[in-house]
Amino acid sequence: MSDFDPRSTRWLAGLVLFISLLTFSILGRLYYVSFKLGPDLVAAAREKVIQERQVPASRGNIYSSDGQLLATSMPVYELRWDAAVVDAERMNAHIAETAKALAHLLPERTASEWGSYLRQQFNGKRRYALIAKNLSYSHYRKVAQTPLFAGSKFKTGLIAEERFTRLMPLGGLAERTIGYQRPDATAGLEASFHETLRGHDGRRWMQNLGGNQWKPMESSYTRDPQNGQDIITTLDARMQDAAHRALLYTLKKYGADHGCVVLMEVKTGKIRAMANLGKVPGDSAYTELRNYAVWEKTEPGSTFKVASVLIGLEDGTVDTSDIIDTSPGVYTIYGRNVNDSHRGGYGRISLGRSLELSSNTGIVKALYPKYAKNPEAFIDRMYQLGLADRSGIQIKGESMPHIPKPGDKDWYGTTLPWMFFGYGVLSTPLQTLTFYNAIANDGTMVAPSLWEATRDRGIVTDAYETRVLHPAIASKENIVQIQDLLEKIVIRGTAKNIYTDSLSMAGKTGTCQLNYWDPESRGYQASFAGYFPADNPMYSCIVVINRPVISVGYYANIVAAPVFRDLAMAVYRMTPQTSAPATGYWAEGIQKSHSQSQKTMTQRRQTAIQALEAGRMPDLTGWAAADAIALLEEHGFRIRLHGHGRVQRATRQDKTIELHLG
Amino acid sequence: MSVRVSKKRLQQSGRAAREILRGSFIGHPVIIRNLPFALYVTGLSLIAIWGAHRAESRVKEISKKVVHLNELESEYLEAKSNLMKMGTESSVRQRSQALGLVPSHRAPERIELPGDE
Repeated sequence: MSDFDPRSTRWLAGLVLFISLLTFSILGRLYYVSFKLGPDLVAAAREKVIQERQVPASRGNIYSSDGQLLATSMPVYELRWDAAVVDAERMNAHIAETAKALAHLLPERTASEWGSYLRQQFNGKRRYALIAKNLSYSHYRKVAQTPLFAGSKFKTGLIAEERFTRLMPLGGLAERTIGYQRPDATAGLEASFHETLRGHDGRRWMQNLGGNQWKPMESSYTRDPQNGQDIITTLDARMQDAAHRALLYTLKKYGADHGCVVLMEVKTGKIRAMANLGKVPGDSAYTELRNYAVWEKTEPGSTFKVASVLIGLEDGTVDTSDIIDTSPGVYTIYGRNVNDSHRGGYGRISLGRSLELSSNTGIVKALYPKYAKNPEAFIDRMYQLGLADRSGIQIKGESMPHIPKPGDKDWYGTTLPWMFFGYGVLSTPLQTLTFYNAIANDGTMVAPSLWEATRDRGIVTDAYETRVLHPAIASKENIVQIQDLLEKIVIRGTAKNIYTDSLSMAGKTGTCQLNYWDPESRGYQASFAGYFPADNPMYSCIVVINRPVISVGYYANIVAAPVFRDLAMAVYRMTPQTSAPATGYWAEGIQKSHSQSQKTMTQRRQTAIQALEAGRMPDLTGWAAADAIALLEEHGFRIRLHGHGRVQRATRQDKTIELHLG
Repeated sequence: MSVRVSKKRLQQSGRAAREILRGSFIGHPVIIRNLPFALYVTGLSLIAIWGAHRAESRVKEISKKVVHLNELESEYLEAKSNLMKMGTESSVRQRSQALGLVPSHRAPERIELPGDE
């Protein structure tokens, strides 16, 4: 084979044979792969590269009735560190400074602890070391700007993982009422409206492009994702803030264990504020721990006397003008004493006056002889007044009121007379308020509601309609009598300390002994339930303060009633009064100066805009800071403010303008 | 041990292999006739490949934008939350106390002017 001839037949035959063998072996392999291994491989590939993936629906927001955002979903970040990526030079150059900065940003470790922690991760070449969890975006950015972590992630090894969490922009306000929905625990409106808020995840076939990036494979979804709807609550952020503030102030002042305030619109039953604050165990701070207003049932005490007198009036067994001798301030039934808080009693007074002064003996002496032989009549009336029912509020966990009945195993001869002034009966603050609201609403009992409307992408899909529980709990005349007494309680009765001539209020105090049978855990509960303005009720409100420090004060008129007054005044200040249309000299003067100032403002704005567009600094002297900021920011400037008042001087440096006010 | 293969057949198949290797079949009239269609199919496949590429870069672009959107949203919510907290009467009260301001005891009055809507 010394002379190689490519045209020789033998060589050609060899080549053809070789190629054919190759071809057959490839075909054979092809057959084996596609038909024998095929189905399994296809399935495996599908699982990895092609998947029917979830397209998550975003959860709806919760708004207050005045349009403030109460709860929304916000991304938070978990920071991890791939220490193996970082080179030693970089590590040594920046570790000291970074540790110091981290100690400031993430104070769970000191600077030296951060230093040794980072060093440890670096030496161990950890690929996924935890730096911090649940950081907000700005917090995360600050960490990412520390020397070691600043720059591209391929050099720094910083890994930021994003996750969605619920945020309440108003912080602790109405925290418990808004609630939460977690796999392990639920509470409040987030739980009650979970189905509406959460929406439905969609499904779609997607193809993996490497990393965590997925490309949709078809233009349609297997199942369309449906975002959650928004819930608008009846809460008013400003009123909630006022309630929270007034309650917190009092709880701190009297060192009380916990308390709640509920503010309700009389005609509709819409709850405008619901604040619940409790002392954090082992701390002096207060926060929203439980929804006491909905959940906690206690003996209402003297606020219940209003119901007792109303029952007597409805049955015609008593009249507010009946005269009762309250001296000596003690009345003994079956060996147990009914005492007045005023030693010696109040002398001979009317039943109405007994209610104004909250005389236990007065109420009991008037009612007991009428019902001692027929307690069922009294109990039946309680059911008629709606005192035995839940209010039906849209929050899970509302307690059922408790009303003793003759024949119960804990029914004694003293049960009925003690019920007259609010012992033995159990109800929640919200249930008591629902009753007082009915009195303010001329006898019509409406259900309380925290839900105002449901909204889907800006369009209201469902709205609350006031639910009447009881069209008339009592006759009109009797309701008017009670209303009159409640107003007198504030004018000249137990709550006269909160009287003010700028706003008429009506309500009843209740100082109730807790666990009076046990000297160890004895304490007081101070409450006030009422409504305002007394002559044209707009809002009803209940305040309950549990276990104030006795040496500081525990009487309801001192502890609870001022919270009511503060909230009432705050709400009153939020409601503009419309005076009769101005006429004559005044009207002309106001109109003139109004249109004048509008004209000059428009002119000055135009001049300023012209100056800005020409690249000059406008004369802003005398402008209100808000107007100046709005204008300048519209033109892309950043503003720094100094002082208060109107603009005196403005200086500019590049895109930053400093406004000096005075 | 001689293999009896027809010399003629061997020559024939050798020629066929040569023809394939030489690529002269490309000039075959059938192929020439269908060239526009072949070009059309090639064009279509190029468009399909280009489209798939664009879709991929779109997906990458979108996922980058989503991260950015979330960051902006988070920043916006933080600022909004701060503003809301600062805007509550409670904090305005606290801050204005230093200036000697206290809340009014009277409700604001709305003055209606004749001719105002």
